[in-house]
Amino acid sequence: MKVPLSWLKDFVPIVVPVEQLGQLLTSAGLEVESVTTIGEAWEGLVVGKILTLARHPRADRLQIAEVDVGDGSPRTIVCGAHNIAPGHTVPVVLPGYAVAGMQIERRVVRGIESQGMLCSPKELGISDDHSGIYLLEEGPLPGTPLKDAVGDDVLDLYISPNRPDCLAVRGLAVEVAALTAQPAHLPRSAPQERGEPASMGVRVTIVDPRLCRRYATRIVRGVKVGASPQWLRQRLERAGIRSINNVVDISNYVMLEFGQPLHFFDYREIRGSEIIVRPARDGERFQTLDGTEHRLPAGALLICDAERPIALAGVMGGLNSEVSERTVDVLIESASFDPVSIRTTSRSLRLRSEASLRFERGIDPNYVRPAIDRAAELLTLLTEGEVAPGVVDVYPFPETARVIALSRATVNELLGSSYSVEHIERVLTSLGYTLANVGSGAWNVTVPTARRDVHLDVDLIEDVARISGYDTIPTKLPSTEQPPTSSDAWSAFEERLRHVLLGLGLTEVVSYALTSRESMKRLLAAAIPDHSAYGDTDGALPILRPAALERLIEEAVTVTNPLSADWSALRVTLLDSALHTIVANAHSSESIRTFELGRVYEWAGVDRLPVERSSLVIAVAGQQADTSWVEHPQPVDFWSLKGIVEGVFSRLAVAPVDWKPVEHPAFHPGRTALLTMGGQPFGIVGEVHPVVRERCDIDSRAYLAELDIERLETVAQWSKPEPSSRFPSLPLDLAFVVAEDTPAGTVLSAVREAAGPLCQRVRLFDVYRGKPIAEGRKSLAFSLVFQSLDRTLRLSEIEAIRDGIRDVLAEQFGAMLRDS
Amino acid sequence: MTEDLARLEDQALDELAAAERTEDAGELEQWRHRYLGTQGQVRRLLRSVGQRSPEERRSFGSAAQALSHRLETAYRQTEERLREHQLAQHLAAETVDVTLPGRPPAIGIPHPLRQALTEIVRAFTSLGFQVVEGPEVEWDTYNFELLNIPANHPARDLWDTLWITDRMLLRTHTSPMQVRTMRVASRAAQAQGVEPPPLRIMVPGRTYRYEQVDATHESQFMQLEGLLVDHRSSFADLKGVLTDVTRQLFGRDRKTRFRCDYFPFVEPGAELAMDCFACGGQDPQCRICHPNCSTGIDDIRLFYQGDLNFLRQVREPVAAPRRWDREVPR
Repeated sequence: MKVPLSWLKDFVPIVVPVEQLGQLLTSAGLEVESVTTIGEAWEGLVVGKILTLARHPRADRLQIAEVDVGDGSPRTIVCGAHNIAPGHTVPVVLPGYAVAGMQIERRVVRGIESQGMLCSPKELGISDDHSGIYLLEEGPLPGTPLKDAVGDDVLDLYISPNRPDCLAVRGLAVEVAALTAQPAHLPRSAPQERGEPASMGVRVTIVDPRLCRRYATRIVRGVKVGASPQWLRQRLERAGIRSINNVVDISNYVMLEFGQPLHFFDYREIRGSEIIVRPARDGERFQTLDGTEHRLPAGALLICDAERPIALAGVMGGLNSEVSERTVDVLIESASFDPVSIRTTSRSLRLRSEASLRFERGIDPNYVRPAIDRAAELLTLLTEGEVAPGVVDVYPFPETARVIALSRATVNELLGSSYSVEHIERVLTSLGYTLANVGSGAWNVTVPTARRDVHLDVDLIEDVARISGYDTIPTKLPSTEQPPTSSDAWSAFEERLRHVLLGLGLTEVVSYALTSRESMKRLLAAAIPDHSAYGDTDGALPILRPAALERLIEEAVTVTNPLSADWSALRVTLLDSALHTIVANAHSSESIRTFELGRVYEWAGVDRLPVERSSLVIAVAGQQADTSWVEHPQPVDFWSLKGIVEGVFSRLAVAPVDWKPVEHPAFHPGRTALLTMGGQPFGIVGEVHPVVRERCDIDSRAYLAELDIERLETVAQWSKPEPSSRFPSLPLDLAFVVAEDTPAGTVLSAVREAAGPLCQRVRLFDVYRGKPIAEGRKSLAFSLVFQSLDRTLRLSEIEAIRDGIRDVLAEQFGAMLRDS
Repeated sequence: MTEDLARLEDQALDELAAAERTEDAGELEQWRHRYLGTQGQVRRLLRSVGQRSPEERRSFGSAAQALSHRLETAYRQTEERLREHQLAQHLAAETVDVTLPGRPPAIGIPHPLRQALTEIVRAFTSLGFQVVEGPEVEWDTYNFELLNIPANHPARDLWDTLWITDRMLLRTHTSPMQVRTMRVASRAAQAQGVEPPPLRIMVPGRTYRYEQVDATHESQFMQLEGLLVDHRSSFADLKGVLTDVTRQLFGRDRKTRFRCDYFPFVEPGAELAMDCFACGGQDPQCRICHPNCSTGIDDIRLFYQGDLNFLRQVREPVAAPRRWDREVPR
């Protein structure tokens, strides 16, 4: 809402600089977004009065004006505009000063020296009007600086939805008065009335008083539609509303002053001298004054005459009864409509206006009368209209003021403040509340009906606090006892996991949870003939349920009003986000190593909220490291990713995890492992299926893992430091030849188990194929370390263990121990 | 006799110097073998002491001993010099160009948004606030209605909403967890027949708005809000907690300013501004949530409730994190 300071001054003295006023309003919750000063650049511009005007002897289109600029020596000014006449008050730029970027000097125009320039509104920066010279109202003396005569400050305020009373100059004046401890002066109009009473000219019926609380009309006869006077045009334009004609301008002016929207009908178009306020019939059609024909939604409210609808209540008037140049008699409507009805109608028809904005936020029904009286007064003053005696005012259930009990103790307890009785009384009274004493420091507070937002004592307390300034309330830490807290295992776990992942050299990503079904469907590259490998997938992450994955994506939680098709569904898997990350970084990074901790969402029907679960995705792609002069890094492979995943398990002390080769729609069939614990799947690790890569435009091989971290959390332990032994350790290297198709992991587990408790560490350090190993077989080399916590081990013990391992492996895998 | 010894010494030292000049450890070793070895000249000389006359033995013996010591010392010093010299040469040969760039390491970089959230959570934790998390897909009831924002309330314009169904939506703020937490707390208390406990919780998480994305607007963003419920807490406590958190995050010298702001579900509502260290000046327009101030958290809120007549009888912490009710609210 834009408010010229000059308008505010009609109702309250402004005693502080405009910047300070802006700060006061802002800290009181009426945010001043900007202050525009009109006339800031008007240095050297003064008010001038045209004394004489003559035609230029050598140029038909130029005139020569003698202009009084207050110093006793009138200036000769050559001027091309034709809207001026002797006696007019005009803005003058004197030589040596500039306007609109033009430096003005004395100069000779076709033989006549011009000693200055007269300005158009456009040159002054007031409007785009460049058709003639800006004409001032009579009043300011010649020589007065122009800034003092017509300059102004315009406050642009953001008014929150709870304060419709401040969408009005008078309402803001009350706030300013309270904030600056000045009296507000809010006069009531009493228009002069003449002729036949209004009640003879119109009858008003409200069909449903729930939708229209009050409907008042006045009739003004014999108006002369024409241009508005300068002051009215100027105020409206500064408030951001274009001037149309005097009648329309008056309705806007009164709306801005009171916050009460009005509607003016051409009285002669109203048939049957009747106004009926009724709900629209389902599907009823109506043409608004912008020429659009609307099919009205149920619940819309219509203003009708005896035969037909003539306005869409509170939203827009009708074409059939609009005020025009030919209008002679005007019927003024000032009414109070149901906010919900107006809001529903204006939203569903996408017709939002200054009027509907105010109606839907709630208007004081008690403003209906003062506003209609003010409009009638202005119509007599500015259009020569005659106001018919009386107001036809239907107000079946008058609004009664709320009364709220309040005490000084409550105020100070809630705020932690120590305001005095007098202070609280002064603040509330200045805001228009009426206080009745009911004991010492206790009141019954009567709320002005304009304050639609005040219902409870806390609302009054907020008013006390914000007008006093929040700075007047002390700042202290809570002195009450701290409630018991639980260890809050989840956020601690997530934080620990983050640190583990960062420590593994992975960069954290936070991506949008919204994606699209199409994007997720890119993951469905291959059909999986057999799902038995996945076992029991009840309660597993969606990505671990390949049999259901397509359905889960199809059913993904969908936004009905998405911002774009790309952000229309919630992700069921983080793999989708990871692919976006890889694509986004493929060109700028040679080595991609990222992780994201985030939720995945699974639709659970309209009667339950979706299942939201925390998941982790790890992505590696490109090279193992960025290119360097030292050596050329290798491309990442399955083991780059597996090493990271194993690193996570090791740091979280999660064991034992089974890596099982599986097929998955999104992954390379020969390079994918399902991770299980106790037979239950909790993660998938693998190379992205080439078809998926092709769909996503990813050139290099990429490896992704998605893990159910809620499951991890239940088994993760804080890894304890191992006790260190002071006895020597004994190394043992063993190499076994096994069949090519024997999984190395199985052999490793068998070695680990057969090595027994004295074995501190087993590492698979070499896989070898080729001579002298037979075709179809491979050599797996293990490095073991033995150590006891309480004694020195004997070589013979180790030899016995070695023989044991050899026998077990020979039995289980037909493995041959190679000579070392 | 002593001339022989002197001649031998001169000759030995000359040869030692020559061996050193070759910078060859082998030459030095040969010299040692020649003079100090078991078959070396000095050994032989010492062994010949016994063949001398008794009167000669003493003086010749001690002179020979002294010679032997001097040559040993000279050898050791030479050997030491040569070793140092060779090490210096070896190291010089290993010189690298330290101005060449290093091998790129794999660096894990935390996401600024998560990092900021973590730091804010830590600050609130130090004041006794506990993290609770809630669903991102919410019921209208919790997101709006129970927060004083019924359907068709103009305040709904403040939150342009992404809808899932006509009563399910993507939460526009973390405030539904206020309602959920207080409900859980009061129901638990009711079941036990005691007064509801005081609360200090914080709710971090994703929120969603129907807003076109540009430099300062996101349709999906992080929010963190706190809730303090106690029967003697006041607005002064809220100011204190937020001021303390601001200073923990941005430094002891930060100045804060509170001004009135509108949230339909709180009275009084406030917005916090602080002077901005990043903008260089004392810019009161720079809020805690200013996107240029590096936090990336759009909205940090704290609510308090002081007029519930709460007692501290329930000693268990209230809301179980991450276990929320998914049923249609009753």
